[in-house]
Amino acid sequence: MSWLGLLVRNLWRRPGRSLFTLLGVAIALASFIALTGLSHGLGQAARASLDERGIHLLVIRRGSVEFFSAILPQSLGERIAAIPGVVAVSSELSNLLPVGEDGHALVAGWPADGFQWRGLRLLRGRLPEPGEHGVVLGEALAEALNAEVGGTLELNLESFPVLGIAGFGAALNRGMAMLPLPQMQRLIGRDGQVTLFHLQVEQPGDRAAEEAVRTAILALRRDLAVVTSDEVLKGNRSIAMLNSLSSALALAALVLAGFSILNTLAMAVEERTREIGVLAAIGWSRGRILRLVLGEGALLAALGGLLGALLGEGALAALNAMVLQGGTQAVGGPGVIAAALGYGVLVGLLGALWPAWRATRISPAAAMRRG
Amino acid sequence: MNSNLAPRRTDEPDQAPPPLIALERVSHSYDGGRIQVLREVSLALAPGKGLAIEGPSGSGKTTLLGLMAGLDRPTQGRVCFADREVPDAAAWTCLRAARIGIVFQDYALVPTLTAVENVELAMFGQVPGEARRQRALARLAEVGIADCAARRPAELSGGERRRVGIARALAHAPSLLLADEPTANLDSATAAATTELLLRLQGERAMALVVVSHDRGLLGRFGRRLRLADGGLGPAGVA
Repeated sequence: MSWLGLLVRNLWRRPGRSLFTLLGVAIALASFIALTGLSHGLGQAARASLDERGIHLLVIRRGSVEFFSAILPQSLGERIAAIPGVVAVSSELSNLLPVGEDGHALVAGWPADGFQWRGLRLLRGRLPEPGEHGVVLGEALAEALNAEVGGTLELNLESFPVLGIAGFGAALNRGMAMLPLPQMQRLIGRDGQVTLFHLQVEQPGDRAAEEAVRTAILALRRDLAVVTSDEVLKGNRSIAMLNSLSSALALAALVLAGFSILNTLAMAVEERTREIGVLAAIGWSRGRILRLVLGEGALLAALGGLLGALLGEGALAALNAMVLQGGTQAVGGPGVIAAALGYGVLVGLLGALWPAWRATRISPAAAMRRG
Repeated sequence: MNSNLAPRRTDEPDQAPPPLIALERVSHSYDGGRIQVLREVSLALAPGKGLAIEGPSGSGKTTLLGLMAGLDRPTQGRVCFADREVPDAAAWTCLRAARIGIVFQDYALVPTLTAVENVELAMFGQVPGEARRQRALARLAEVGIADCAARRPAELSGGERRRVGIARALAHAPSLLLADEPTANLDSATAAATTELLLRLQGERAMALVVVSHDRGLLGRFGRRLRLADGGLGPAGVA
C-alpha cells in the first residue's frame, strides 16, 4: 500500500462526503477559471483588437471613470499629428449602442481619411464614401444579426444601410460596427468630440522613441494619457472594477472551498480520534500524522481542481458561445488551469491545517481506550 | 480508584542483566490528581523475560501498560528503557516505532485496510514500499494467517483479528511486546491458541513480553506474575 493509496482509502471511507466536498472545490475552481478567464480575455481582446488595426499608441483622457464617456476635442488630432515621430493620427468615437432589435455592439466612428479604414479586410461590399450614410460590420456581428450587404441595420434606433462586411482576427473587432465619424458624432450627440486618438509612430516598440512622443503629447494637455495596447485597460476604472469584482468572487469561491475542506477533515479527524491515537501508539510521529491529514486535504483539493479545470474550460466555452457571442473571448489555457490547480492545492492545505494540527494533539493514550 | 490505598508493594527487579524496561516509584493520576491510579510503583523487566500482570477491572493495569509504552507520562517517578530515562514524547515515539510493540485489547485495526495493509501501517516511513509489503506478509505468515492477508477486519474472526494485531506489533521486530488483555473476547480454544502463539513468539524472538490479563489460562503460563491492586503492585496471589 502506497502513501497515496492510504490517503485515497481514508477519503473513501465516507464517499458521499468526500465527493460533495470535491464537487464544492471543483465548482469553486471552475468559477475561478471562468472569472479569471473572462478578465484575461477582456484584456487580450482589447490588445489584439488594437494590434490588428496597426495601432501603436493611444491617446485617451486620463482618469476617465468609464471608457466610452471620455471626451476629447477632435481638433486635438492636428496638434498630435505635428509631433515629431508620429506617422499618423486618427480619431475614434466609440460606444456600446443598441443594434438590431435587442442587441448591443461596440460601434466606432472613424474619420473618412483615418488609417483604420485602410487596414480593413473587406469580405464583401465596400467602404463608405466620404459623407455617405452607411455602416460596415464585423463578420461575427453580421452573422449574429443575420445582416448582409445591401440590407439595413438599426443602430441606436436609426436605420443604416450595410455597405460592407469586414473580416478580422481579433474577436473584439469581429463583433464591431464601423461608421464614418460625423455620423457617429451625430448619432450619439457628440459633435466635434472623440473618445480617443489612434497613433502610428515611426519606431513602434522603441521605448525611447515612444517615450519622446508620449512626453510631447502630455505637454499639450495635462489631462491626457498615452498608452500602448498592453496598457490600454490598466487605467480604465470600469475595467479595473470588473477585474476587482472577478478577483473578489474568485477569491470568495476559493475561501469557501477551503472551509469546505476544513469542515470535512475536521469531521474525519473527530471520527478517527482513536485510530489516529493508534497510529501514534505504533510509532507514527506527529509530523507523519500531520502529513497524513494535510495529504488528504491536498488530494481532495487536487482532484477537485482537476474536475474544476474541466468544468472551468466548459464554462469558458459556454460563456464564449452563449453570452459573449464573439464580442470578446474568455481565455483559459494551461496558465489559468495551472493557477487554479495551484490555488486549489494551496486552499486544500490551508483548509487541512487546523484539522491536521488537531490530529497531532491526539494523545497516543487514546489508543488504549476501548473503541 | 478509591483513596484508601494499600501500602505500596515493590516488585524485586531481576538481578542481571540490566533491565530493558524499568519503572521507578511511578505514580499516575487523572483529573488533576483527584483520581490516583498508581502510587509509587516500581518494576523492572530484563530483556527476553516474561511478565504477567493481573488485577481487578479498573485497577490500572492498562494505565501501567500505557506508561511502559510511553503512551502516557507518569505524574511522578520515572520510566527507563534500556537503562536510560526516556526524556520526552518524541523519544517514546521513536521507541514505539523501533523497539516496542503493542497488542491492543480490542484489536484497533483500521477497518478500511486489509490485514496486510494494517500490518504495513506500523512500518510507514521506515521500510520502503515493496519490502514493507513483503515484511508484512512474512509477519502474517509468522502468526499463521498468511491466507487472510487480503481480507478486511470485518471479514476476519476475533482470533484472526487478534493475530493481525500481533503481527502489526511484531512488524518492526520489537524487543518489548506489551499485550493488553490479548485473550479477551475470544473463545477458550482461540484464547489458548493465542496464548501459545505469544509464548512461542517470545521464545523464538527472545523478546520481553508483558501481558495484562484476567485470563487464568494465560496468567498461569508465566513464571513471573504480579498483581495490581489499590494502586500498588505485588506478587500475584497476595491480597
